[in-house]
Amino acid sequence: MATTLHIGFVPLADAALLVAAHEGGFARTEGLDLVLHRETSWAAIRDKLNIGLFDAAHMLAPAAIASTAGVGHVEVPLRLVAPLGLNGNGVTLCLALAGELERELTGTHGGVPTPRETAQAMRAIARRRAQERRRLTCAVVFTHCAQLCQVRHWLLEATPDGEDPLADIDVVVIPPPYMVDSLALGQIDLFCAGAPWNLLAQGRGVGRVLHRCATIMPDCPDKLLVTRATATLPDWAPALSCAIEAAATFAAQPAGRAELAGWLARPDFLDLPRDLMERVLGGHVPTLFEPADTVDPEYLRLDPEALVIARRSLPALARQMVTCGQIDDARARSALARLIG
Amino acid sequence: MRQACASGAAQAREGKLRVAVVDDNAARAAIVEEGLRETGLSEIVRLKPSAMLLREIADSAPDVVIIGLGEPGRDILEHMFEVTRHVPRPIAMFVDSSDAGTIERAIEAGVSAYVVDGLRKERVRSVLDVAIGRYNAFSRLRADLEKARSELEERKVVDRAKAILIQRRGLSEDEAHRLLRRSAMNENKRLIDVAQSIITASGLL
Repeated sequence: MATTLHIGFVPLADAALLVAAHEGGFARTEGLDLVLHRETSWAAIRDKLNIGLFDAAHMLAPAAIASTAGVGHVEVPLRLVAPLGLNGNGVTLCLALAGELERELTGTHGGVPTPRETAQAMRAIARRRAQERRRLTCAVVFTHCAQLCQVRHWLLEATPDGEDPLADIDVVVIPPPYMVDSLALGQIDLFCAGAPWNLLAQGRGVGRVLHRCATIMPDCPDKLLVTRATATLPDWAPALSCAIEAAATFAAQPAGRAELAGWLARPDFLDLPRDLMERVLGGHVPTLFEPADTVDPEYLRLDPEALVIARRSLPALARQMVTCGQIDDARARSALARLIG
Repeated sequence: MRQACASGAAQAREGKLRVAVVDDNAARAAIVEEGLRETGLSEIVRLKPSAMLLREIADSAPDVVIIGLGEPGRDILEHMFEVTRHVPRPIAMFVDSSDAGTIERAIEAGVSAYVVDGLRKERVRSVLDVAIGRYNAFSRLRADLEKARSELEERKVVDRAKAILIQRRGLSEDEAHRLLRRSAMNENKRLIDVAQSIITASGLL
């Protein structure tokens, strides 16, 4: 008799291993019958995990840490079932800002500018805008997210010691579906979000991808598969973890990846063109300054080794959250210990 | 200091609670508003979720925000916990640890509430109760509508099958219906499936 599990996910490319575990039969092999529920808000996923409507869920790693720590008035202690991948984020600029950045960088670099060079240029623009009372606004996906850490880390390279890299920039939280419109309407100047939002903004002609976050902050875990913390880990957790591992092995092969792109494109999953999903999974996300055929295998990693690296890198991510001011050190440590178990 | 001022102001206004209803669905927002007005509340603001939600909420300065559980806009609201410096009146999700039942009912109904610091929990609970009731009523209405629609569709299919039998085999409507029913029973199939098979078959023959 198969165990039925209700799992919440948000329609992002890094829900891929969950989709593959379901569609590829890897969960079924482990005696698990997955029912995947699509949600559009991280808060809703946390709430439904809390009252047991979901057995497990796709979640932002920092949000899982914050939830376990009770930061933000709502405490829902969580346990890690399996990491869901590595990297996947990108920084995208509105067209006007992209133009301004190109002008700022003219003559100061050869070929593709480094993150340090773009950080210097961006901070110069931010300072100028702040003085002109037209502060830059940057959107991230949630209060507790790696995206904020990555933007801060990127700008830190060009920031004198003791200064706040984001001093001249207003950071807001906007769910990715609203981010693209917001960029087009000029309500925000740039955003940092996960795949496929950067490619989507670029594809719609409203933004240009400046950096893949794998370049800014390599080997960064982003999403985890988590369950509500109970006295002991549920019986099905190791089996579900195995299913995710098997899905990762499948996703690492070209044939598996192609099939996965097809599943993700479906209306009941991400509902996006298949070739867009193939590009995302293949790391074909060239930035503003790169040749159009640039491929970066680090862009979004879903292979088994990536899951190992992700688990190992969670303490570093927690430290980044502390540096960004998302949580204090003591609570981050104890929450991480509870989460990893 | 700011917190004390905010709760003082909130309590002074408790007679006139201002509620923001955030919903993409105009029909549902309308019945939630109606329900709230029936309890005597008059300051109700309807907002559509968008990237500008934070600004619009700050501008309308509600005491309570009612928003669908799954609305992407919730992630914007949750961020307000962290930016209380920028928002004049700190707002937090309504979590009454003495009443886990209400929270559970709210989640099951698909609604969540955010309240300004300092508001009495009972006052908020009554607003949330109305919202839960209305959200549930809306879900039932929607389910009923869906059921009626699919029943109508099924009726049309059965009628078409009967028409085919009447025409091809010269049966009366009654006889045609009984034939369909007997067929379904003998083959242990649903009436609608037998009817659909007849339509499909007649198209091929």
